[in-house]
Amino acid sequence: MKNNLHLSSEVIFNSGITRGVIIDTIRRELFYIDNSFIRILELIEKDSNESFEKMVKLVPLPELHKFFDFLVENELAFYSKGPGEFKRIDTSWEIPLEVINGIIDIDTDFSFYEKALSEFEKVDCRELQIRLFSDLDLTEFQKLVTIINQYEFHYVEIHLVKNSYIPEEEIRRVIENVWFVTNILIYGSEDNKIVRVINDTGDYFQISLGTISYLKQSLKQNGCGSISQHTFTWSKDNIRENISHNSCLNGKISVDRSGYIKNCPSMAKNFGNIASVSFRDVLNNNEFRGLWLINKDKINICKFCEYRKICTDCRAYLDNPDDIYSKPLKCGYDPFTARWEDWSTNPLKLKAMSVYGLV
Amino acid sequence: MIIIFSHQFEYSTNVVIDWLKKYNVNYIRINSDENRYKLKEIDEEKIIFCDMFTKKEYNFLDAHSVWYRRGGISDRMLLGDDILSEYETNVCDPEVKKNLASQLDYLRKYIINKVFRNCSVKLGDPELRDLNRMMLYDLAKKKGFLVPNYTVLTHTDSINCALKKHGAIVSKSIANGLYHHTLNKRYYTYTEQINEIDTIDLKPKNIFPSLVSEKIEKTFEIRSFFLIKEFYSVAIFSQNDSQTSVDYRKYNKKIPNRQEAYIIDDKTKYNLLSIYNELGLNTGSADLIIDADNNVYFLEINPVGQFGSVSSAGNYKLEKKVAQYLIHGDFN
Ligand code: SF4
Ligand code: SF4
Repeated sequence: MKNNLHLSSEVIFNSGITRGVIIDTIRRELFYIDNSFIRILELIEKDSNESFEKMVKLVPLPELHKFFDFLVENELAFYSKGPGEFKRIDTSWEIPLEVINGIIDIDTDFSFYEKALSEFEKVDCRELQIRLFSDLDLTEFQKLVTIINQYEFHYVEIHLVKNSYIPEEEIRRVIENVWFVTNILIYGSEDNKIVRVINDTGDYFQISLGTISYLKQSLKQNGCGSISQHTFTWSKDNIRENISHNSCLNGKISVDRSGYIKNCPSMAKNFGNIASVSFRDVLNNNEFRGLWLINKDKINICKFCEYRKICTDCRAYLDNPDDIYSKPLKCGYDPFTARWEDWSTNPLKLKAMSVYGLV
Repeated sequence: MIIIFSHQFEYSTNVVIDWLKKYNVNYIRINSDENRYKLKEIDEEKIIFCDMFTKKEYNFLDAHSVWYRRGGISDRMLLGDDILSEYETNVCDPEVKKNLASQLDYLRKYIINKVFRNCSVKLGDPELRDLNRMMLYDLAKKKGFLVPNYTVLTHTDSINCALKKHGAIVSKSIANGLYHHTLNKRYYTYTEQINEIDTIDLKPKNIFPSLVSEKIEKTFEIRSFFLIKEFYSVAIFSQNDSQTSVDYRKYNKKIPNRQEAYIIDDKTKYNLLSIYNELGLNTGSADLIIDADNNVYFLEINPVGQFGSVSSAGNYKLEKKVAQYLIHGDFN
């Protein structure tokens, strides 16, 4: 009898309506299995030795052995050795920060930019996305950069529209000079390409300072929220967070292009203008924080999906714009058929797409 | 108030401080590689440092709790920029310089020692920031551990003797390993296997005293973080991969090693505890090896070892636990 089989700490699994999946979080691999084997994994997780009898009742012995071999071969599980004990880790998630990241949208009105940055600093937000929708000239761009350089963020990415006023060297210089500005994305570029910015002082050392991403697509507010296998998250911390929280909005606070404070700039609901309302007040608002707790188990369709622990989410563009628990509009996966399709050509999504101005 | 000795970019310290902020606790972080605080005055009741950014003054003896993570008190903190540059440029006589350096050392030791004795909650120990590897081997052996046999070589001829005696050998640094960058070179000391082929072209000569130890064929490695009474451990499987089977810090990017949450057995726990007790340490990071016959070998204890990776691999939330300990002297 095979016993003492342990599931790796780096492996999680999940059942779906049609199939189950084993997720190797470190090696970034997915293994699809029949849901009956998810039951086996649950038993292994409990105690493989004691529950062996139960396993045999669920799956015929030869198949069970084949499954064990498959797990061991792929190092998803191993037979315990050594004098100690392997333990399954708990999946609770907790961090000391209240705000995790933020978004500022800027179009033609720059007046609230500084106020917004100082509000982000006050609530100790370290990661920021700044989206600049209008055609900036060089002086305007430099001014925005000078202002942000007076703050201490840990990570900032800037989304820009390609124009002829801001030369490429200038963009590179921002990444070189402001240590926390790490990625700059330029929309409306001729090609899709990513250029790394490294500190090139002739040292043996080359430290990567960030990247400039050139994207053909245009910068649109409603361009956010697409879900695909490429947007899955693999970090164990993010996965633990996803299990209990919304994988996009948890810890997020945003300012839209008119200065309104929102969960994300694309959401309809605002919680007052930054001119008169502080982030602190908004963070104490139950309705604002309620969205942070909409995990995939609460979302229609997603709750049946085998990808729900690693999938990102979007609460701004929904299959049913009137139901905050409905599936993300921009997901083309159907857990009931286990097939990916192009969401944007799905006739059932047309109505919602027109609500959001996506057609 | 809590005093934390660390370095500027030390990640675990950052996270612990985030927790302290969340709990609204006052703290002072002293980075030895930064010149934020400057000594103002000392007498029987106080040790006053001035925060050069805010111009606020702090009596280090107001602290109830202290954590020695890394670093300490730099010359710059004691002297200030002006005296430091005077001291560095104007004092030329090596004897005078040596004497002034020792004056500073005594002052530094006095401050840290007094702060530690004054605090009711202490974590880590500045006096024990690095332990003597060979003395530690002997201590571990005394406390019931298996320890790899070792030899200190002083001549090329003895390399082959050591190979014969131990089967396979690996190099170790006697003191702390080197971790040093210059403009065009990086120096690291890794644990490296020494093979007979490495010795073929060696001319017989005296060499710098070099520690080698018997290579233990491991099933897996254990890194175990000790905090007050508890051990938080991960098992690292690096065996299947020749790139990492000698030293797992040479991280394999393609197929990462598995890191598994692990509970060390009672005997190992007991042995480690009695080492920590004898050293008078209440925290540290131990490396162990499990061989094919389930024997536990002791490799080392690093009193200021990183614990971030153990914490995240086992979801142990160690940074939070450290913060709670610093605040309450307990985990609740
Ligand atoms: S809710 Fe949707 S639109 Fe808003 S930030 Fe998240 S993914 Fe983007
Ligand atoms: S159905 Fe939901 S959980 Fe599944 S892939 Fe789409 S958005 Fe993600």
